[in-house]
Amino acid sequence: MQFENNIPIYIQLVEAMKLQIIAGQLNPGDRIPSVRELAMLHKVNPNTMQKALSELEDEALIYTERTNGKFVTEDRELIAKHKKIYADRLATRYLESMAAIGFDAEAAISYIGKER
Amino acid sequence: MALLECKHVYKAFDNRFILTDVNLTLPEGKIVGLLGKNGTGKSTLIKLINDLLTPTEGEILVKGLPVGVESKKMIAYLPERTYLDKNMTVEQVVGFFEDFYENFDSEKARKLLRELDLDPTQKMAKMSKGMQEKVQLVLVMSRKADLYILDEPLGGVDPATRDYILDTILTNFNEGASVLISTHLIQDIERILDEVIFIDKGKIICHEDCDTLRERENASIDEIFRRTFKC
Amino acid sequence: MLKKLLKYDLKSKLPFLCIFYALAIGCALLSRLFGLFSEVPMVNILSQFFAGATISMIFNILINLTLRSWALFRQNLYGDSSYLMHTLPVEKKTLYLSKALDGLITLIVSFGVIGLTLLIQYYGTALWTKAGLFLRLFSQGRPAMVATLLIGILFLEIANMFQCGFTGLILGHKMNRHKMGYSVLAGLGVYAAGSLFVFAVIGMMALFNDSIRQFFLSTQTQPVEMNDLWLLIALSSAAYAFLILAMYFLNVKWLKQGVNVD
Repeated sequence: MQFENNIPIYIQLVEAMKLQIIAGQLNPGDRIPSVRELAMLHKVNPNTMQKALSELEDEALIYTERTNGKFVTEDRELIAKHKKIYADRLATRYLESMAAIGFDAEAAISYIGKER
Repeated sequence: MALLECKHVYKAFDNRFILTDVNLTLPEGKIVGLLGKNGTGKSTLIKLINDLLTPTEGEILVKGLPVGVESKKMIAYLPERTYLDKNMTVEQVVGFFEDFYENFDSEKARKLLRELDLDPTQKMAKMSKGMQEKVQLVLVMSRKADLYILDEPLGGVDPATRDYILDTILTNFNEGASVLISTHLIQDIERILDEVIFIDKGKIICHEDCDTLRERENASIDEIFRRTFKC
Repeated sequence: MLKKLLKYDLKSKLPFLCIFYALAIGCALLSRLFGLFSEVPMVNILSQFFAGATISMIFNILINLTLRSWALFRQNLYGDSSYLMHTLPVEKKTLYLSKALDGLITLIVSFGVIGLTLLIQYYGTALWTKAGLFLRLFSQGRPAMVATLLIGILFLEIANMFQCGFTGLILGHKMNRHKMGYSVLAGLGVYAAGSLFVFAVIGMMALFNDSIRQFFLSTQTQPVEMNDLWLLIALSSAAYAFLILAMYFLNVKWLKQGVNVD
């Protein structure tokens, strides 16, 4: 994974994992590899990886089962909520970008319809 | 307990102060970058920690102990230069480290050397500088130390080796061990750092958590460094 | 730890020394061999040639040993390898002791080889007998005994010189610039001071012992009595021993103060 150096690495890791969850690459209830394994996978500092996982846990997207490790939440409603937030962000960005080249909201929306 | 403490450390050569009132605390389990332009005192500070120089004033403690035989057991130091006996073969050097360091893992060293395609029967003198540096890195990372001090580990190596070095540092990260990396090549290394220390003209400018710094300044450490030390 | 350090120190010197040892003994053997047929002019020349070569090999051994010991001392404690040596979990005292013992052991072995070489080349020859007569001029005792005592003093003198070199390097490298220059000065200075000390001790002896005073001052040499010679040797040895030990302790103390590695 390519990292930007001007945004905290752990935030980028959080976003990446969130995406995996809402995209279904990580399914509800799936087991998540250990901190060390993930750190080695992404080639980051284990402390940074730990920070990212803590953040995800704070958002209740993953949970820790003391002896078994970490798992993706089974709360599909929560996942759906995050999916909507992400989709909203993409939509807003699309509309803003189109507005910058002269498409108002209606035109931007129907443009997609045409191309589909 | 702090892993490394520098208390009011001064170092002067012939009345010229290279380090002035250096105060530093290094925690356990972190990768810390010691960043500064060349000639600002990074190497001097590292030499002081490793007993190659003596402070003009102040004290240095490693896990509460002064610099000495016990602190040297806990520290694995990779200097910038090639310092191994050129007449020894790689295998002999591994034997040497085995002889003197109880916490040296010779099996791991041999494995890493194999991975790097380094011939154990070859004399150090016959190896290129790059290969010698790789051997030195392997030896240092094969020690189960509490503090790894790497002085400019990325200087003058090709990108592939650079990646290898960063990977080796990350995969050999012992629980509770810390790594202090001194460098002026910040871009390549900042993503693995927990904390940074900026040093300029022999003084510590700041010592902060990387992500806190990034969020506050909205920039990479490299960028922040450039802003701070504009010529 | 000391044994390990000593092992590595000796290992780094032995290959070179062995070559010189082999050459010295080889030349002595050849010289002796050719000497057996010295009636033949050509062979005689060869014999003389190898005799000269042997002597030069002997000097070679001693000079090489001294210079190499100093060079290794400097390299290991203040050069590139010092980054390895000073970060090993060993005391500075042990580092020094290893170098000192290494010097001592190689010096003893070298003296042994040189002795053997001289024996091979000269034992039973005319030169040997002449040397014996010459020694009788100095002392009434048996030449072999006198020679051994004098060689003992020579050994102590060279051992002292070795350590003066170490002392010079230690003191010189406490400076921040021109380290080698200061080292040479310090080494010479310490050597001079040490030698004066030994002379002073012998001088005291000469004050109280007529036979020895005469030996040093009078133009007509009268052989010294064995008892007096023993006394002279014993006092000189004591002076040297004191000097060597004192410098050992000082060197260790100065090293412990800290090194100044570039």
